[in-house]
Amino acid sequence: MRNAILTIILTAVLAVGTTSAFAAAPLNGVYKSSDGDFIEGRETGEWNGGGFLTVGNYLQAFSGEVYPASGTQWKWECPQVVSVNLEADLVFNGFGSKIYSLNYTGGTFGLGGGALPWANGQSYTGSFTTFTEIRTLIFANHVMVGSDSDFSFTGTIDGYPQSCLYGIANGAWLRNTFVGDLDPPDHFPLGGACAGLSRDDQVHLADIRDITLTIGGCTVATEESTWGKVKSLYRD
Amino acid sequence: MKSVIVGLLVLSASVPALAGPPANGTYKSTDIGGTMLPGRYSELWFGGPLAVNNTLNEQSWNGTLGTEWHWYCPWITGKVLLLNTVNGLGNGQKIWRVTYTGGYCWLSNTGPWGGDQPSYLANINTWVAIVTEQYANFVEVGSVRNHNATATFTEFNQECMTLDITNVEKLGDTVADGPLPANYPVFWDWFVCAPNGNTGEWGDVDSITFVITGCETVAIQERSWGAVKALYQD
Repeated sequence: MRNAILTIILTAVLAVGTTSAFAAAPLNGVYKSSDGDFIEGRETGEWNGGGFLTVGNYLQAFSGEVYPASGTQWKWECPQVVSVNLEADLVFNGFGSKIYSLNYTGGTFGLGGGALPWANGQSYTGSFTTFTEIRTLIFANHVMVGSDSDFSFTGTIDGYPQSCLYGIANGAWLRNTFVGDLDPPDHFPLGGACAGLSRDDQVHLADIRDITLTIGGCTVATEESTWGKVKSLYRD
Repeated sequence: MKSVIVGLLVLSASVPALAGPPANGTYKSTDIGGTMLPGRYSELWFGGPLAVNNTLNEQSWNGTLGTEWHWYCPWITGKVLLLNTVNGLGNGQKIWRVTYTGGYCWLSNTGPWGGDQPSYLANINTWVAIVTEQYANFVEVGSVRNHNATATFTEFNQECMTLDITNVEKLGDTVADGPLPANYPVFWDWFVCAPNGNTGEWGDVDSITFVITGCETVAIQERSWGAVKALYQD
């Protein structure tokens, strides 16, 4: 009798584990905005640290350039800058470029479901494990007149213990503005959502372009049980 | 007679002296709300991606290549690995700082900088690329870049310069994707600074901020009165 019960329980546990591990896992692959797999988006950089290049700033980026589509295909929410390092200074007499690396910590992401190529019958959320931005600024007469960025990140998808999301993208600074001047027709994530900036606080706005997302190895869900674990539940 | 000759010489010298440079200013590409054209690039490989001597060729694109601007022949002299998150399964990113040298910038006066010369040429002073590569199972599956460059115009005052930054996305290479597609800049080899070779990569160039600064109307064949007189001294 005990063996029969054990068999039934084992079958049920393995069935649940298998479903959890495989049926809902995002589909492995390399997905590119430039291939039309998903759309590009926009970023609001929230100046909680006080400036364009300050520790403490947050970032929000949503897919979509046409309101109200923002964030339906992907979202990056609230990675925070923990260090800013000058990598190269090529400015002479107020003209030229500076290259900075910005390291972020924390933050979450969302990947939409539906017809998106990674979707396996559902949408996904997760957390960033690394998030880095290399920002190249251009100066004319000591004034910053442009900035382009390379983003790179890795992340874990909720329910899966290992990092299995990898991404890179370009960013293009558009302008600085104030939270109070942001509104839905601007098509940007509304500033202040990460740490409560007020209307008078400053943000910068940017395009997010040329995104490559790689999903690989999200096949082992955290609730999967090993044979040893199951047996240990029924030891005398 | 001597006066007539001198007068003619001064007159002929004064015509090119009126030649003007491109207009100083900050120009943005149309994809970020500006008026200058975005573009496309190819990079000739000497042994593989980001190898020494690899040579860039970037041209504006509006359905036709190179009608407005052309950066050509800077070549790679070295690279430094800034970050490597590639794990034991071969997944992650590498970020490189890549240094180029040499090369030229050509501008048509049909660009928003105008000017009364048909085109302008500048020698590239500096060119640095930040290259972020994505790997899956140890294979590079994507690459984006930030480029920044400075160049000094020939024929004008030495302060007459251009600076720019761009975003770049690699779209393919000849090893993984076959021959260079039509409508991308052909491969150029810096040794001859002309079309050459058939192995390399290609992609898009956009998010351009382009600065022209310090340019003055300077006679490109200007002669001083003293120099003219010296030709006819007894």
